[in-house]
Amino acid sequence: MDATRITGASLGAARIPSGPLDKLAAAAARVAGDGALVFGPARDGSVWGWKLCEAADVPQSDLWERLVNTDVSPKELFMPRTEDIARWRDRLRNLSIAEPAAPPPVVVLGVRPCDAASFDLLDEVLIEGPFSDESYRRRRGATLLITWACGKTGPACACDAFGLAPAAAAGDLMVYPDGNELLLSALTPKGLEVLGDLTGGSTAGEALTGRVDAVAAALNAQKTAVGRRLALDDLTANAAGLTATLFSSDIWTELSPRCLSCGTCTYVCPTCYCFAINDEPRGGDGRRIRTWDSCQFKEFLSMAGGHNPRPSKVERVRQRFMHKLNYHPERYGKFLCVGCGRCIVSCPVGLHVAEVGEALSRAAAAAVSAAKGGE
Amino acid sequence: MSAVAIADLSRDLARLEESVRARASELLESQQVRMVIGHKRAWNGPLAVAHFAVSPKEARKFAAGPHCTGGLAKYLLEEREKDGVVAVIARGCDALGVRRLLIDRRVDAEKVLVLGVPCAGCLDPAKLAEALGVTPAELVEVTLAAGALRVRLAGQEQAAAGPPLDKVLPPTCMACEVRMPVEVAEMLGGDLAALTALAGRPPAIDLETAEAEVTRLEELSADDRYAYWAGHFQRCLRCFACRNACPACNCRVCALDSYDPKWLGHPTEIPEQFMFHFIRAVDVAGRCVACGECERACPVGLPLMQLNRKFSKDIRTLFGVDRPHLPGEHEPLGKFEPDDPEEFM
Amino acid sequence: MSVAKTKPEADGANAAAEWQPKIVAFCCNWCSYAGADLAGTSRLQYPPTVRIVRVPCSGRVNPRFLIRALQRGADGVLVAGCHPGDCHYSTGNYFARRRFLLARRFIEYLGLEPDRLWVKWISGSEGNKFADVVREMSAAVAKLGPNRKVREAR
Repeated sequence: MDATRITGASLGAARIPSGPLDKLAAAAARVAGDGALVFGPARDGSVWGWKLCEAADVPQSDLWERLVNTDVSPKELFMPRTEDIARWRDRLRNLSIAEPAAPPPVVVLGVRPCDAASFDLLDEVLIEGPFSDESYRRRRGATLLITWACGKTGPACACDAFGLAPAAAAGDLMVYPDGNELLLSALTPKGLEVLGDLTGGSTAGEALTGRVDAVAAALNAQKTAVGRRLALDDLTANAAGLTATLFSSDIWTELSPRCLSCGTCTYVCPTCYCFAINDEPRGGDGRRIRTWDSCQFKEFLSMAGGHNPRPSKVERVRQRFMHKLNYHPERYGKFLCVGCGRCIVSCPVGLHVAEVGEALSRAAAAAVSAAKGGE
Repeated sequence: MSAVAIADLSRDLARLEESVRARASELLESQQVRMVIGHKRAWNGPLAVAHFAVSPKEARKFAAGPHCTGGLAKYLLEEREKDGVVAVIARGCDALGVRRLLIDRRVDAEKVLVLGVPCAGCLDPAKLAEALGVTPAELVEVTLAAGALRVRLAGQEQAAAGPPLDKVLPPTCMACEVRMPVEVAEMLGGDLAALTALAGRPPAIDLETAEAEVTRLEELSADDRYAYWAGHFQRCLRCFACRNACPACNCRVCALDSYDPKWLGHPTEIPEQFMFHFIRAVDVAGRCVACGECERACPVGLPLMQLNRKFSKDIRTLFGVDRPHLPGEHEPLGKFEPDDPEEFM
Repeated sequence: MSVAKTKPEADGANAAAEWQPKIVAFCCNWCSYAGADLAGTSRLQYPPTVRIVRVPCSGRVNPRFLIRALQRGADGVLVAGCHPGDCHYSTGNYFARRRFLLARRFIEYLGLEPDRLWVKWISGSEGNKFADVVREMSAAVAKLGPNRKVREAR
């Protein structure tokens, strides 16, 4: 596994007391730019999601001691569930087309390291690949991510099984709980600016970065309950060589029957990025919108002529997990999963990446030992 | 029920589990059925998941008890095109779900064998977690002993005594009138005195109590009610778990998937969310079996049963049909009386 | 939770002053549509607020027509069919009656105004009744004001 995904390099550090975070949020908002919106975890009904925080209701730091993670991932801050691509008006052939305004700068206060790392994965696909997704790129570029290292892991957490760790360095600014204080460590120039704004220009010297390293190392040494059960390194080590074997494995017919073909796993997942583009015409006017879509829906791949290349759950379940655990590792060298554990918690029928990952690694091991036996 | 009988409950459940496994093995061995659908222990967490046994060996994995949540009837839809009989290990709600599919002619009665199991209710992990002051994900293992739950939490080696089962049931189980399943081919478990006595008890809450939340909402102002529903619906992810889990949502082509006519647009803004939940609720009105699967499946905790219960409440007051999902009752929207009320007409 | 909120464009400057409700009427082919026709041929005056959709029977009207109409810009929906006992298909309107008794209570439960849904029995010879219903309903819906709760933003 790539160790740089976990350690990162601190550009500067500072120490603030635990408690109210309004100063940190305000500093980040100033750095992010004019009209910046600050989002933080908030409870909505019975679930935790992300809400716009006014200055007065910025959460206090003890929230991150209580809350393992939000139930809904923060990806919708960069990939809204519904977004306009364009609106048009045809007032009797006097056609006008309006594109959406530039997104406002956004500060996300207190994403967990797994979620912060999910954006790095998405960036590789959506920005750094041969095609750059303009809408995502603009929103991502206008964002300042404040990442909150995990002081404890939750029962469904699995970051360490997927090449990350409870305090993996990702985002612009890391926050590490350290006794009654919070250690801040800048990972990007933007993060450093926040520190500068917060401390009036004096970021502390090497003694503090040393402390950051020590705290981070201690937090990163935590093992998750799920991670202790899973050993998935074989799957990334030889992804290309395993594709055919895993694709035709029996595990798909064994695991898929209980799937409901709903989109829960893909919609709570921070690394799923499929979308649909649809026109919503209303007379001469209309809008072209982009919405989330899910490979688990049976209509996802149905084509105009009626053909569906993934007609049953076997193909659809296989697609999702092969993408996460084999196709993506084959191309990018890492899983398209950060082990946030949301599918483990939310799937209504308990079919999730940990169980499938374990089954796949067993199938991979069997294939390897069969190949050895044949030599 | 007496203390002695409650103490026997865990023994009864063990017997029931054994009897499910034995009967399933027997049916598969003799090839009377092609598949048996039931529950098995999940990879993690306290709840069981659906299990599809096609060999006697796989039948050994079947489980029974309050941790076996999750409806099974809907899975029959996917087996309908295949030859051979499929058996379902059915709690009361599963049996009503199968009945729904049979009435709607979506499944061939010749190809289903309903094996009933008495049910003491299925635990609601959210309620149990709340009672223990933890999050649902922290529940690792739950067993039933002497009428009370024993719960092992994440990071603990030993299970500790938890609340009594009837304190942590979802509202649908508390109002359940089919703990002894109806319209089954056979009952499994034989003579299970404690379990059948418990399952045979009247529901913990009556219809009116079950509908208390509906009544509360009815008494709000229109704007407050709108704010209540808009607040919930804006959270809806449109994952369709509610529809996909529901045995009454069994149309060949769902209106919510249809492109022509395109009933449901893709935007997830409030008007479309109302459209979605209106269509879902109206289409199961009078056909809902009150299993609560929609609500259980929802990843963002929408109170969907409060929509379904509104219809069952109105159907009762307007048409005098108390329990449209139970045998012996008519489909309230599939019939009429010439002197039905007219109210605003 | 969305980062950018797209504001619906404001209606024209004078729109509020000139606002009149839009009512979609689902009229059964055999009675109510003929009744509307009679109202027209009899030169009866009624407000131009109603848009008629002809359906074979009030039993054809699915409650989702109601929410779709409200979503796409209607302020009220009228379902009109033959009087009970007079249905061309014998029983269609009886089924419709049960359905819309529930639908009206249901939209009220969702927080909409129940008075946006009217169901009336109007025979082919009741041109007067059709004109009266449109007049009364227009006034009632005008009092409620524009439907904004479930109307999509344009």
